[in-house]
Amino acid sequence: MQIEITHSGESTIITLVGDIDSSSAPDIQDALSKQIHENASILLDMTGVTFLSSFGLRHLLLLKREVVDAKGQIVLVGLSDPVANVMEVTGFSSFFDIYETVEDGLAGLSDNQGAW
Amino acid sequence: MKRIDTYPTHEYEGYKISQGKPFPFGATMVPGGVNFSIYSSNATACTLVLYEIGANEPMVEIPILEEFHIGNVFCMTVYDIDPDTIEYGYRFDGPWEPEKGHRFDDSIVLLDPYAKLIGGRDVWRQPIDVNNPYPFRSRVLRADFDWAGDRRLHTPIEDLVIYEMHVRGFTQHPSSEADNPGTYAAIREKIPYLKDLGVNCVELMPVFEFDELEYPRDNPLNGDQLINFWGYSTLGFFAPKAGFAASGRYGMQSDEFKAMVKALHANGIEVFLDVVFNHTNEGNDEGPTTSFRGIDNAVYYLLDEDGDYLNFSGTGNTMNCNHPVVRELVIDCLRYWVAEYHIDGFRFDLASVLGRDQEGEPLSNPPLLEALALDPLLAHCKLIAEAWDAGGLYQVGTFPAYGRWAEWNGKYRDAIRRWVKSDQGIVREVGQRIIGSPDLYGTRGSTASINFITCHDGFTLHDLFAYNEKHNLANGEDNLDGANDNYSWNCGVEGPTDDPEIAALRERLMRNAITILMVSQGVPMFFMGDEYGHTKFGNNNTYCHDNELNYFDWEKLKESADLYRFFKQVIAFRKAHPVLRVRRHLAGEDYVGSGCPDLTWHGVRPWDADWSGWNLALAFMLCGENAARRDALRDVVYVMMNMYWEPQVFELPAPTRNGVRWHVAINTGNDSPDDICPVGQEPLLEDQRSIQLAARSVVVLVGKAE
Repeated sequence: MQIEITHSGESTIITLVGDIDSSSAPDIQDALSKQIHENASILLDMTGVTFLSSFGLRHLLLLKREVVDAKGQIVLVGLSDPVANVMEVTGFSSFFDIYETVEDGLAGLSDNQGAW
Repeated sequence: MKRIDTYPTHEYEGYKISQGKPFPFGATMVPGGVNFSIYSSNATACTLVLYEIGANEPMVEIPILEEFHIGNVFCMTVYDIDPDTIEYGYRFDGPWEPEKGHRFDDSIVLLDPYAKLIGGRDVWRQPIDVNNPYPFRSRVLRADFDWAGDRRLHTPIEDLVIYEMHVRGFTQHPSSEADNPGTYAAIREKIPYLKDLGVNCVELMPVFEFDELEYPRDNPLNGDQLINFWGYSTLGFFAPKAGFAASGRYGMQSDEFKAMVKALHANGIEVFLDVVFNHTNEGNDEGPTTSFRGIDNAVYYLLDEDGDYLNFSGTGNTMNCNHPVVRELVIDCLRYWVAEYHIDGFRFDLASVLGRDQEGEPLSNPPLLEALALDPLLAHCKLIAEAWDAGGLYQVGTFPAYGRWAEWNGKYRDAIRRWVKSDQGIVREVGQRIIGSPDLYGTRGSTASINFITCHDGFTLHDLFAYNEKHNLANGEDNLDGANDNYSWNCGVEGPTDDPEIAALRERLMRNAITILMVSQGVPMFFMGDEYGHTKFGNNNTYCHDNELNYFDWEKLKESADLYRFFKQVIAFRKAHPVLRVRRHLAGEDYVGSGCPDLTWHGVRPWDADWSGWNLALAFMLCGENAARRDALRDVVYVMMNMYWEPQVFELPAPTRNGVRWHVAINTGNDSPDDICPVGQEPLLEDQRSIQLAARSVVVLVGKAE
């Protein structure tokens, strides 16, 4: 799993490449935890994610909860069709704000500023 | 603070282990590892076999130490293994003494009876890996689904309209246009359809993991592989069928199933499961050994004195349901599905097996049935028995109910089928069936009766009036399988016909049947596809076909818009009239002195029902003046059934109150759309004193104030 962190305005862009499963999820959690602060605005670019396991999905949901607890927000972008489908059929997608592209995701984040 | 008992005490081939917790049974995530617990009363040794998911060879086999063996329970915690990526099984050692009931063979890797997930058939009909002798593997489930405020519906049972369905069959046909055909997720996609139809309960045919590839036979008519489509052949009772999940390949069938239940609940639809505890997939001594046989054969199965399998299920073996250990397994399983999957009710396949003792004799007070009826966690859940078995026990009306159990009323099915095809000598019984079978359920109320005319088993509603005989050759059993007493009538031609009169008659008989079902006291159930006249071409036992015989045809649904409209409106009619849904039995009494008893019988002349054997005309009035439900007080319904092959004039009783006049809700003698009228728009009946019913037709009137 490769994790790259960049910034765009107020938002943090975290780009993930590889599989999200029980072995990589702790690394993602570590990296993200450092970015979570009050009113954090986080975009998770998953264009390079090829596989998302059951445990991986659960980690994502826990991260989302942490961000919300900190009154921040997090969006997912660039889900491949299989990943999007798994999230949809298992009901996980209903917990996330999902956008197609990084631009859309950033726009979504700024639209929702202060919505919390 | 960390628990002080979460440290390994032993090591085996680099794996850190300790004595496990005996409870709960199965594999459970604990701090630092996974706890494994399984029992066998006759085994001498047990080995845990761990695999990487998908690997043919184990990563390690850890014998469970004698000091980890508590009573008959083998329990061990293994540390530092990743529950996301492992699967497991067990080897059991013990005597091979079939004559004493013991069939231990430690060369076989067995499924955990408490496995919450089962791998091996992750995708429906995925090709078998011939290099993998033990494909069925137990997996660890992380059971932390976010139900986000899901509420149990607790719909009163008398208000249910049960829709029996098959998960794959419902959306596998290309015409479903579902994103994920044949899956739990696709049921979620089709919720708008279920709501439009008006059903408020889906009863899913077996969803516990089974092996669809277990049959060695082909279809003799076309050479296609026969598939166990229905799934009455359980591999493991705690695991949802992975091949019914779009996410099964990722091991996420549990989440997908729960997402479906959550969405159904959010739309007011309860979820019942058809559960099969009477037997397992292992068959008789020639069947596969996948779990129970190799763990504790003499405990799990009913055996005769020579150790041979008793067969009250018709499938080779019979679960020993009133052995205390098996009983606990069944109770644990149902509690699990209620607690973990939010299931609202269960229909028990061949439930009479659950009332037999360890020798196979029927018990007068079966501990398992009592335990289920009085269980705290199952308290609000509906329990429905298929009150017979393949060993000759037939308990419709006498199933040990403990004030809780309802029954599939097979006598309702047979009587109404015969009535609709104009059999004489049945009118008196029809009278009982329509009012909730008080002759069978005197003290239990009408809600003990699950009324149905069709279900997955037997002819579809369409085929009931298109075939005199079953046509089961495609099943590969020389047409010997399936019921022979179908009480069906082909209306003159066996199978499809271009004759418009016969086609019209079939349409009318289907409408008569569903109307009678929806105006009967008790709980109505019908099978998916009947609402558009699905045909199985006369096959009355399609358990082995993964094809159009069992697929709901969404294109045909569009073509049969008139019949579908009728179904939808007749369901709406039932829901609109509380006098059709009375919990206690109607008694023909006028308790409140209103002048209108709750139930009165009539014939072609009012107040003059003819119960003689040859009669085929019957009418009844349901009046809500005496009802306990406030919403029923002004409700009055008059139902006339002319099962004669000639038209007949029915004289009408006066409506109950001044100012109330009869309006026509349903007349199956009319062509669509005049066969049924949307609730609230029923036209006034011009002649309030009499009406002519067409040959073989049903008319339903409602009393409305002008």
